[in-house]
Amino acid sequence: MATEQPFFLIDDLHVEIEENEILRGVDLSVKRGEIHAIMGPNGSGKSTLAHTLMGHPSYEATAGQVLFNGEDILERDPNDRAKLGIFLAFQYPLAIPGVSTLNFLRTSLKAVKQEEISARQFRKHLLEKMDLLKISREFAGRYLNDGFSGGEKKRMEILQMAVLEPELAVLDEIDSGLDIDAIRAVGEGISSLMHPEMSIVIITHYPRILHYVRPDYVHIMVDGKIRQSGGFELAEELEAKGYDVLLKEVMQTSS
Amino acid sequence: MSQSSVEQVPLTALQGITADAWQEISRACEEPDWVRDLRQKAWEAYVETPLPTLRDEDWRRTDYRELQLEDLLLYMPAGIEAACEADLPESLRSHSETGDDWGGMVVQVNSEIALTRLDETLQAQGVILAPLAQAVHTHPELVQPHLGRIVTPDDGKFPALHGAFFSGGIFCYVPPDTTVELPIQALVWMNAENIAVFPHVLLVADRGSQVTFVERYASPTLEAQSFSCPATEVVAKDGAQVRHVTIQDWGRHVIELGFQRLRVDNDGHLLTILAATGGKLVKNYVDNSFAGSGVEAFHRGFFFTDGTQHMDYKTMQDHLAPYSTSDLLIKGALRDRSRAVFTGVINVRKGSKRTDAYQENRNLLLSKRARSDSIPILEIDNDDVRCTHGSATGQVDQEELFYVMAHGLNKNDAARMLVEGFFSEVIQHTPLDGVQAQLAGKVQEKMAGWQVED
Repeated sequence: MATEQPFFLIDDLHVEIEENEILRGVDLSVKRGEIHAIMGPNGSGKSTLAHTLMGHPSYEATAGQVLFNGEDILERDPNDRAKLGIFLAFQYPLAIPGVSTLNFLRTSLKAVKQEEISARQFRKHLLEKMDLLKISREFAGRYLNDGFSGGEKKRMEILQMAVLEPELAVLDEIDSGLDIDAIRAVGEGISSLMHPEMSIVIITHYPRILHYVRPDYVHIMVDGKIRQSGGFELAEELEAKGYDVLLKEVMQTSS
Repeated sequence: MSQSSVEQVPLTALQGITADAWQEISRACEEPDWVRDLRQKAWEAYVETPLPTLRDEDWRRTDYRELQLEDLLLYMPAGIEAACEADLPESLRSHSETGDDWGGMVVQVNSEIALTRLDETLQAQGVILAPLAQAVHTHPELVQPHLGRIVTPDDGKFPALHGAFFSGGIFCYVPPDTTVELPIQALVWMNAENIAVFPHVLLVADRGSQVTFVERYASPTLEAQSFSCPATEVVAKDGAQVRHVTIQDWGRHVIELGFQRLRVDNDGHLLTILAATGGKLVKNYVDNSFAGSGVEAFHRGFFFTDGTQHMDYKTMQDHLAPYSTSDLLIKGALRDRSRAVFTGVINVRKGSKRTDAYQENRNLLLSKRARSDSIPILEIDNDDVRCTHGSATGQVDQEELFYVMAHGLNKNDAARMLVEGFFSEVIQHTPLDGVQAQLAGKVQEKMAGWQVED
C-alpha cells in the first residue's frame, strides 16, 4: 500500500447519544484507494460511527477528532461534509415524496460540486450511471425512494454515490435486508465505482458482501471500539467461526 | 324602514344588513319573481338563524368578531369594462393567465361581471357560460332547478346571508354527453376595501358530460377590511366527469365565510383540487355530496398560512347512496403565528352499503408559534362499508432533514425541498400544467424568507 499520509483519520473518537457513550475511542486510518470494512455485532456502535461521520445532530462527539484531508470535520454541518467529498449511504434511506429522483440528485450534485449543471446535461449524466448500475431508467422520474422496495432503495444509494462521485464513501449496512441476488447486484455496483482516488468504508454485520467489495482491511468493532484489525482473512475467519467464537477470542486478546 | 326611504339610496351606497338592501339589489337586477322568492326565503332563514358564536362546536376555533358587516358596502360595481382578456388590468391577469389555454373565462369584479368569454367551439357544443343575473332570464329551465337548492339557506347563517344578497354570479352549463376539451375559469376579483361581495358559482354538468372548471378568488392586499361570502353549487349528473379546482388567493385584508357543495349523481366522477393561501380570516365549508351510487371521487387540497392568517376548512364526504368511493387528502403548512383548523367529515348515510371512503390530513408546523387543529369525524350509519382516516401534524422531520443535508443542501434549502415535496404530492394532481406550476410557485412564494427553527 501507498505510504502517503492517510487522507481520512479517526483519532480516539468518543461519541454520546443522549448522554450514553456509544463510541469509546475509535481509531481508523484510511488512505486513498483503500477499502476498509468495519464489522461487528448489533449494538457495537457501527451505525453510530456512520451517523457521526456525516454529522447527525443527535450524535455528540465528546472527544477525539475526525480528520479529512487534514481538517477536523467534527464541527461541520452535514452539507459541508458532503461538499468536502464525503458520502454516506444510509442503512435506512428515507423516502422524499414529491421530489423526483432526478430532481433530488440534480439539486444534490449542484450543492455538492457548487456549480450549475443544465437539466439536459444532468439527465445524460444520471442515465449513464443508471445504465452502468443496471437500474431501470423509470426510477429517474419517480419520487425518491417513495414506495421502493428495500433492495431498490439500497441500489438508489449506490446510484447517488455514482452521481455525486465522493472521495470517501461510508456505506452503512448497505447489504442489510437484501437477498443474495440483491447483495451481489449492490456489491458489484459498488466495485464498479471504485477507483484509486476514492476510498470506501463499508460497515456490515455479514461478510457476504465483502466477496464483491473486497476490502484491503477488516476491522472488528465491539462495544464502541475497534478491537481487532486485519486483512481480508479476518472476514473469512469471522465467516467460518461466527461472531460468538471470534468475539470471545478477540476480547481475551484485548483484555 | 319604509319603501320611500330606500329609493333614495343608490345601489352603490347600500349599507347595513336589511331586507330593503337585498330588495334593492333584486330590483336593480330586474330579477324574475322566482329569484326574488329565493332571496326572500333566504332572508327569512337569515333572520331566524342566530349568529354562530364560539359556543357552537363548528365555530369554536374561529372567531370572526372582527368582521364589521354593518360598515361594509354591499354592492360595488366592477368599474372595469373588458371586451376581452387583454382589456383586464395587469394585476388581475397575473392570476388568471396561467399559460393554459382557456376555453371560457368569466371575471367578476366586486359585485358585477366584467367579462364573459366562451370559445366558439364550446358555444357550438351547446355549452353555456353566462352571468347568473342574465341566465336567470335566458335559461330559467336550467338554472331554476338548482339555484339555491344545492347550497340552501338551511346550511347556516352565512349561506342564508349569501342567498339574500348574492350579486354578480356565474352560470355554466355543459349539455349531456359533451366533452369540453378546454378548461373554463371563473375569477372573482375584489379591488376595493370596505365592501362585502357575495359571488355565486353554479356549474351544471349534464349526464355523461366532461368538464374542467377552475374557480379563483383573488385580490390585492388593501388596508381596510373586505368581506367575501361566496357560495358554489356544482351538479354532476349521471355519468358526468367533473374536475373542479378552487384557488383561494385573497389579499390579506379579506375575511371570507364561504360554502361550497358539489353534488354527484349516479356513476359520476369528481376530482377536486383546493388551494388556499390567501385571506386574513377564512372559514369555508367544502361539502361533497354523493347523491348517486357508483360515484368515484378524488379530492386533493392544501392550505398554507403565514403571518397571523387564520384558515378554517371543513370538508365533507357525504355518502347518500351505495357503492361509492371517495378519497380525500388535505395538506397544510403553517408559518409564523398563523392558525389553521381542518375538520374532515365522512358521513355514510343509512343504506349506503359498500361505501369506501378515505380521509387524510397532514399538517406541517413551520414555526413553534403556529397552531393547527385537525379534527376527523366519522359518522357511519351502516355495516357494510370501509372507512378509514389518518391525521398527522408535526414539524419538518429531523431524519429527513439530515438525509437531505447529507446530500449537500444547507438546512434551509433542505427544509424547503421537503416542504415543496410535501405540497407537490397534492399539486401534481392538478389537471392543468399552467395552474400546477402556478400553485408550485405560490408555495415557493409563501416560503420566502422562512428559516428553519432549531
